[in-house]
Amino acid sequence: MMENAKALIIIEPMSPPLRKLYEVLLSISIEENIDITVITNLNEAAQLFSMGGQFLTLVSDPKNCAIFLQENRASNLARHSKTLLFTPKPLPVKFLDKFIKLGLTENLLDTAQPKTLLFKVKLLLKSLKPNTLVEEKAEKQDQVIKSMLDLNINSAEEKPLIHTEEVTSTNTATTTDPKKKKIEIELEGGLDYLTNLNKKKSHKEESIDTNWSSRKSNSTSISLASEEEDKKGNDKYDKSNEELDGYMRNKQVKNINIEFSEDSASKDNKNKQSEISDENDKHSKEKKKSIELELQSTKEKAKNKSVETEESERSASRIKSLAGIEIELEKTAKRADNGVTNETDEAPLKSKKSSFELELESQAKTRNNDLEVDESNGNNNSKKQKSAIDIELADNLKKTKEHTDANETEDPRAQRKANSELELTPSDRKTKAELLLEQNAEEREKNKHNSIQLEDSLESQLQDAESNQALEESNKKNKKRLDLELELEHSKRSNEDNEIEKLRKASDDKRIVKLNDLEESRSDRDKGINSELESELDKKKKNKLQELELTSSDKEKSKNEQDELAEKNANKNKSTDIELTNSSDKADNKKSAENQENQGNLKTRNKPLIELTLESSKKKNTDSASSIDTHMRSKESTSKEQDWSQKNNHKDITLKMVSKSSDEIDLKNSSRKDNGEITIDYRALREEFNELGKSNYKSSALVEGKNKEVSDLVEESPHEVIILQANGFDFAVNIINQYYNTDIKSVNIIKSVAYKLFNEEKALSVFYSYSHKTNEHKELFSSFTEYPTTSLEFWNQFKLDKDNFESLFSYSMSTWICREIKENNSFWKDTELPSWATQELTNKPVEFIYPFFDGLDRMGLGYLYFPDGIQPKNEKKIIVLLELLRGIFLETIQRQENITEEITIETEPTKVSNVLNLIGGFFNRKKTG
Amino acid sequence: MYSEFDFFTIKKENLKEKIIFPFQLFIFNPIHKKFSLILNGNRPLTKDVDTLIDFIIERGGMLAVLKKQRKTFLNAQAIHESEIPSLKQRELHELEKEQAMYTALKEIYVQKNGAFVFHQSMEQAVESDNFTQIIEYARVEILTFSVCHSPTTSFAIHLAKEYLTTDSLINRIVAISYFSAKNMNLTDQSTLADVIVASFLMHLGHTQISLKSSRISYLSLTDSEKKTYRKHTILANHLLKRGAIDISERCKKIIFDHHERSSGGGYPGEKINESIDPLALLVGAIAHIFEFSSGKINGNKQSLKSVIINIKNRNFIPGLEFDFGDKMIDIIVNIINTDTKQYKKSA
Repeated sequence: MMENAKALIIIEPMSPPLRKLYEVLLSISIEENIDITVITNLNEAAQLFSMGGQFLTLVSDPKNCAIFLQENRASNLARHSKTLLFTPKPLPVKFLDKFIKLGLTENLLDTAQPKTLLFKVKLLLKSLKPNTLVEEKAEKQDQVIKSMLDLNINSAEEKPLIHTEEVTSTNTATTTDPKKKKIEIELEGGLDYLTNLNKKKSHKEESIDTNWSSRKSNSTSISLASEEEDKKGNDKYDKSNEELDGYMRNKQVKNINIEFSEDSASKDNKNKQSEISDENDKHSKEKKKSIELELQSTKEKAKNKSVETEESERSASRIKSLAGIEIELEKTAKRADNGVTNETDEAPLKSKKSSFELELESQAKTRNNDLEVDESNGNNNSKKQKSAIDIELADNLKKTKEHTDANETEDPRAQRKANSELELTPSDRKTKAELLLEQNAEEREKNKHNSIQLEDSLESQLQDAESNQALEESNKKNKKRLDLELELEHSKRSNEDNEIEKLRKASDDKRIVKLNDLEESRSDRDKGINSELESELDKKKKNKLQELELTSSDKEKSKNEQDELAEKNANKNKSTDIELTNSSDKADNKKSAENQENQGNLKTRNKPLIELTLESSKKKNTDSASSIDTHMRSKESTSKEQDWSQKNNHKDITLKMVSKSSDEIDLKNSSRKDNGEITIDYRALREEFNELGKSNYKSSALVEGKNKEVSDLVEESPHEVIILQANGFDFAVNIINQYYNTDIKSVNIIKSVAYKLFNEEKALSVFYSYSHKTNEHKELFSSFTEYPTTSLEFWNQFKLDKDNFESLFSYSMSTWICREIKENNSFWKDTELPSWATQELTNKPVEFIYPFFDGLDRMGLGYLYFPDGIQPKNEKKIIVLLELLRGIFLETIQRQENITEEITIETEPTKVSNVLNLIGGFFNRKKTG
Repeated sequence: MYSEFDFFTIKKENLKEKIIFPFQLFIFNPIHKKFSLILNGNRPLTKDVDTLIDFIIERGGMLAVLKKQRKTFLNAQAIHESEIPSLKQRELHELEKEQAMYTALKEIYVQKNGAFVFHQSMEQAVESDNFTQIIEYARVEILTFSVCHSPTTSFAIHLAKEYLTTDSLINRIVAISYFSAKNMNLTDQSTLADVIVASFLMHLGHTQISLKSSRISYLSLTDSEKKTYRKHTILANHLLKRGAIDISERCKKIIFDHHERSSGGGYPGEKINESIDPLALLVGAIAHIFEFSSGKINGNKQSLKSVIINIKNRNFIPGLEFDFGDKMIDIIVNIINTDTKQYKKSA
């Protein structure tokens, strides 16, 4: 693995853009120091996450993303790992919110540019810490692989030797190659780790598991089966390390299978948290049993064979190795038994209890009350509940410490490795089989400090191993142990059944909501506990009151309600326990690898088993926390909250009923009954009219004529018809249509505007174009000739007055002229309307000169004559209508040629009627209405 | 939803100190021109509500009753119609009469031609390249708009009345924009009026540039001509300001921004995403597909369906744009059903 590499996980299926991105990232992974892992199964993600360190995860499937985030929410949060979701469309806000709550960093669109996506990924990768832990582990992993390879080579070398000895040394068949097995056991953690990483291996193991499980029915038959196999030959033991590891695991898996079968028998019974610890106990015990049996059998055989002088060194070494295994397993068993509840011994129960108590003491004092209450249900139940509560209470702390815990759990592996290496060396040095037991005893003595009781028991077991009778006894003991364990489990389950039956009475929704409430905050639960206590106190009080016959109806009601609350709170605790165990069990089934890790820890660490199991269960609970969290946000919880509030409301109503008058009650009730109808927000109405009163409207309307004016306004306001001043823009649509129609000549557009002006404003218009070549204006169109009126005389006379006429072409700005208004020997001229003369202009002939300019370039001129004056309000309209012709005049300037020729060709004399027909023809009006 | 025409105002005295009424009582806010329910039918008029009504009347509010409950009100309160001034018939404005007429005509039209289904009509129109029916129905609907609403609404009615009669490019854009806006659940008349007026006037700027630029395809223009062409939105805005037309600012904004694209590649402001009015994107998108279809962009006429398919498949064809945002693209693509084998092949 690369140094200081940034870990990038891509979860399949990949969308095409993500695949492209992946390819790009792959190409730059060495340069950018990115370690890319593509995951097809989400379970792999969990395994990767167990390595620790920060990750950037890219997902393109929202469903997978959701599952991934839910499963790894806690670890993501703890490690600040990033997750990017690529979607083709932006996620709806509703879903995006949920995703973000689960820990989604960002939702990126596939449609975004690849550069952007790459930049984003790089940016996020920069923010990640280099995955040093991963490196260390990888190194370890490499070492493990190397050692395994060495072993394989050794075993391959030793194979033929074993084959030759098959016939002669059948008694030694139960033993294996000492080196191989020892190292195998030593590296078990490493192998577990490997199996976590490598899925294929786990598949192999499963196949081996099934073979083993099919052959062997229970743990006690393992030794027998092994003997049978021994008879077949030593080939089985010369299998690869994986197989041997599988053999070791097989027991575990098998045990779990047994558990499952039991579970299937009592499917309805929900497993408790403490079952995990029981299971672990079983694993360790059964292991212990089986290996003890093996040891005993080998010892017997060794005894028998001691007479024989032809015993080979190899067989001795095998015995030695077995003894080594035994020692190790015994050690672990001892350590485990320190914390495990042993049915035969009274002490472990106490120790368990004490450990719980210690933990509980470390927690808040308020919980003790709860525990006291719980204790009344029975010792077993109370323990379970306590453990569950501990898990709950420690959850928050656990979340924060998860990362450190993970490191802690990994560190002992290294220690274990070192220890195992140390242990390995003396065993190798000694070659004589007779010294084996003595050495074992010495080693056991070294481990005495772990547990005196267990040592005694082991010593006794060793003594028993010297005789067949003792072996039988030990077998019986083991059977007894198993029976007792089963009995205990049954008893526990019977208790659980009772609890579940109780819980079943309560509705599922309530239970879930209660669970949510409990999960939501510790304080809430504390309150619940307090309420329980209060309810108990109330009960006591009630009893007293009943004795005194002083109960009142109101009090009874309140008490009943409180009792209900208390009961519900009590159920809450139970339900949470069960829910949590369920979830943990589910997680258990899914993550058997984690269990194996835990077992590995059990073998090496000096921690009490219960603590470990609790930790593991806590870890699992964190996984289930996401589901609880999401559930908390579901509608059910809110609906439940509403139920509570409704209850409270009900209370309030009843209280009000007592306190207020009957009229008011009717009012309240009637208003509450109207829930089904349209709700009237009287407060909003009041506020609305409060503001209305503050406004100027009120002051002006009410002060002057009070409601009369208001009513008048009301009468008028709804029927105020808005008459539009289109200002010529309505006609613009017509002109645009003509602009688009290539069949229509430009002069026709001018004509249509001229006609509009003539028709609506009674304006006669003349349009000139300007030729840059000749610097002259040439007439394009004249309404005077087109629509002959009395104004034609004016026009003819005006044209004769050359000074005045030619002055038109000198105008550079639009100008209104009224020759009848004279001022200072000059006629009225203004550029803008309205002005002081507006009123006079309505009935006097007015001219309007409108030159067309494109910047500084003259394009043409429009001259309008209003013989009957002009309405000032129409000024804008006239300008707009003229402006609509700009495009035509621009044609002349842009083409740098005079369009006069074109227009002169087009401008055939047409009559008004023709123009009308033309315009009418454009739109061919249909009265559809 | 009730309008002001659905109510008649009454006085407090008309309630005659009764407590229960078989009709609903409303409150009219003269400032906001809003009617709010204050008392449900057959519910007691409590002291609280009574005092609230007094307060509201004092503040300038009015009691109102639904016109459809007129008889119930008159019978229950034993009042003659003449005693209620608001029930007296008033003379309608000419435009109101027209509106009433068009409303009746719409009912007749629907009875005659059946309920209008946009997508179905669109399919037929695209197949036959004849949008007369859609344009006609758009006109029928727009003419029923309230003449008392806003200047833009009045203008929309006016333009629809004047121009939505033939199957022209502008009318197609107007009609499809209108129905697309309706499909976006924009039922407010003022919003629809904005869309209508903007669709009519968005090419106003073409009158301010060379006629040639309006008549030949955009891609065949020279760079300088294209530059000038791109000014048409600004020029339109300038002309609207100069003409001082009383239309809504949103309408002006749609006209100004109808060439803006969500990716920022549009003009004149090169706006992106949320800074562009969705209606501007809608109108711009619909105008674009029709212009492209008519060959105004690349000079080649193309069926509207193939244009839509090209947009759907994001086929890069010169002049074809699809930076209208995902929502608008969805709307455009779903105007007609393009999921047929025939068109898949062609695409």
